[in-house]
Amino acid sequence: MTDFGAEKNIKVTLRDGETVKGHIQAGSWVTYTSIGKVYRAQVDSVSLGGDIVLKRPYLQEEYGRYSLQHERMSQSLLEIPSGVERIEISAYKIVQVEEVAFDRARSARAAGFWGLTLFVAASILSARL
Amino acid sequence: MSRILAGLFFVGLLGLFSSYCDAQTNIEVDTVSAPLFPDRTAAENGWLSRFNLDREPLGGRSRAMGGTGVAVPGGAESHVYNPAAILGLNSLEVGSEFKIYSGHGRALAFPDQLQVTATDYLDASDYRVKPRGASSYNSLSLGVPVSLLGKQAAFALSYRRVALTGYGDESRVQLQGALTSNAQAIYGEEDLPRQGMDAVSFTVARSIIPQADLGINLNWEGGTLKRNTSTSVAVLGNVFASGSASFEQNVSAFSIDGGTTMHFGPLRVGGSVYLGHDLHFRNGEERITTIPAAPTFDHRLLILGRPLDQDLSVPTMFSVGTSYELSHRVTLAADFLYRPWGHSWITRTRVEPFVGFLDPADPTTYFFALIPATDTERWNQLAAAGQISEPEIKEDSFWSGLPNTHSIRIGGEYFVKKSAKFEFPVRAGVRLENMPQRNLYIPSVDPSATGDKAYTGAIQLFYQSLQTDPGCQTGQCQAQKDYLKRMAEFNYLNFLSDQPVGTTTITMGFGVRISEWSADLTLERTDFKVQRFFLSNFDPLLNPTPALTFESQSILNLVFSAHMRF
Repeated sequence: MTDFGAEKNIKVTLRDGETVKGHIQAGSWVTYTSIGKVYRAQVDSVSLGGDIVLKRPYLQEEYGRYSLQHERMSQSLLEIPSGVERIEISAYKIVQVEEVAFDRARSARAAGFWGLTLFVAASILSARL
Repeated sequence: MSRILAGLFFVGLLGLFSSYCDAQTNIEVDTVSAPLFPDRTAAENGWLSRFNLDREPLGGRSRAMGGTGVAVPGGAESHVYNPAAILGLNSLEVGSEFKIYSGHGRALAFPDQLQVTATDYLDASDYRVKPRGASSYNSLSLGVPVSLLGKQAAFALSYRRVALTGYGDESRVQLQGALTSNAQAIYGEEDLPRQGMDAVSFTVARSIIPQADLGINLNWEGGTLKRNTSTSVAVLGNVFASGSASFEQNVSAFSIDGGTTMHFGPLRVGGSVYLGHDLHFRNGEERITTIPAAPTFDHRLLILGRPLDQDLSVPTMFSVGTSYELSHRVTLAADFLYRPWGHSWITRTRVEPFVGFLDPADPTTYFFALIPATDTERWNQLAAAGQISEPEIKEDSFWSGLPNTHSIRIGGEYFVKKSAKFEFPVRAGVRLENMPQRNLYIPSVDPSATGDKAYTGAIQLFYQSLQTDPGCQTGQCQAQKDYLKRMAEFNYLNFLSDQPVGTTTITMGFGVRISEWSADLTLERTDFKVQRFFLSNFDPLLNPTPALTFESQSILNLVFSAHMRF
């Protein structure tokens, strides 16, 4: 449970459904998905026991479908305020660590995007050079 | 006008059928250039068209919502509408956009007959016009959200197409008459604008107070306006004669935009100012290959022109807009853009007309040249001969003749699906605006001009004035000379009334966002009605009568855009 395979793209699932995705090593940027919110944050440290500390989190996305839950949780101590500077994830909360395998749909989307972008870039260069 | 070649075909048509074999003979080419064929600015030559001055909408979301974006928070592309709007960025974002366009058109009015000479007419029928299809990149953009001095901020860098040189079209008309031995001749013309003006924009925006944001754009604009026109005459599928014209000129500018967005819950209000600046037109080049001259078809002209450098002032423009989030699924937006092109001026080197008569007793043997002040030798000769008043003034500024243009845009967005991983919005909008095109009107504009052509009529008036005032010292003679100068500077036509071309654009589109990836597809249809010259020629040596058409055209844009967030 404590080996996150720093060179691998890892998805860590916590027992309340929250996830951390990315390369779990100090300095890497990862995606932390909480209820109704998606943060990008930098890994500050990973302890030998498996505790993960994230720093400099910023809110990337927020979803309306969880508005009720979010409103309810805002009254509780579990809420992570948007202005927090650190997110601490205790090892005992981790229920699953899995390597993110090759995602064909995601790769197709990325290929579509980069294909269009390179085509546009080539069009600009051919028009200007 | 891109149709500068059009009327040249009349010369070839005169001997079309009697000289078919001669058309196969070697063609002798004479190369001529200024001052016989005077240089003018791109604006005076009519090369600036209705679509190549105003900035295009950008971004799949805004474009599909009718082009609204002044108060709609978005990504890096939003800087086109309002630099403060890029604060919609919430992660590093790369975007690209590409478009394919085509269209169709039809003539609402076209003359039944075209006048070739004072006594000769050709029956005209089956006039067709069709906008050409082509494609163009729109943008590459990069947006980065940051924290700046403790507040939310964002930077954006984009390379974008500000405006196309224009949209091309193809025209065909069937001509028949005594001059064609009553055979059917097809006259065709193709106009293909290429490239356009691009911009590299750097944008920075920052939240000032919780309810208000500010942003600024620095735009470096530049590019090459290119236009090719080809003309041909065919009988029974055989092309008997053809000609072509090409034009290109570099354009550059630097401009600054500023904008603000204020948000009060679901309501957002925004405004932008696009500061006035100059568009610099430089290093122009023009080549016109005429249709071989009848009746032998063995002689044609290659006319080399050099469009004059010019500065076109772009007035300060502004826009205001609002958006309202009815729910987390529905957003409505409306913008108004004010573009006072009527305050635009052209500055270029001064030109003066020189009119002479090969046979002093015959006014029809006239020749005419426009001498620019940059042609020092000839300028000084004219000055020494007393033909130029205040020859030391070598720069000229005059009204561009463009009308004010405005744009009203309304649009909406509805999220059919909206979840953490997947979004599917549909959008629609409408845009009512006019384009800064000079509408051309045929003279004769001087009611005192004699003759059936305004130009030759004006020449005759000038000639008559010279009979009583050989030195052209009187006010009447000077007025005739000034009149000729104005006609020559503006393609021998007077722009009596400049009216903007009203356009209606309907937009619709949808987007798909899956996690960090999103793509948008937008369809735009722009309809407008416009008056144009057909079979027109502004060369004083040929001097045919142009025909005015009234056309209805539609242009379809299919725009693809994609974004990736990191």
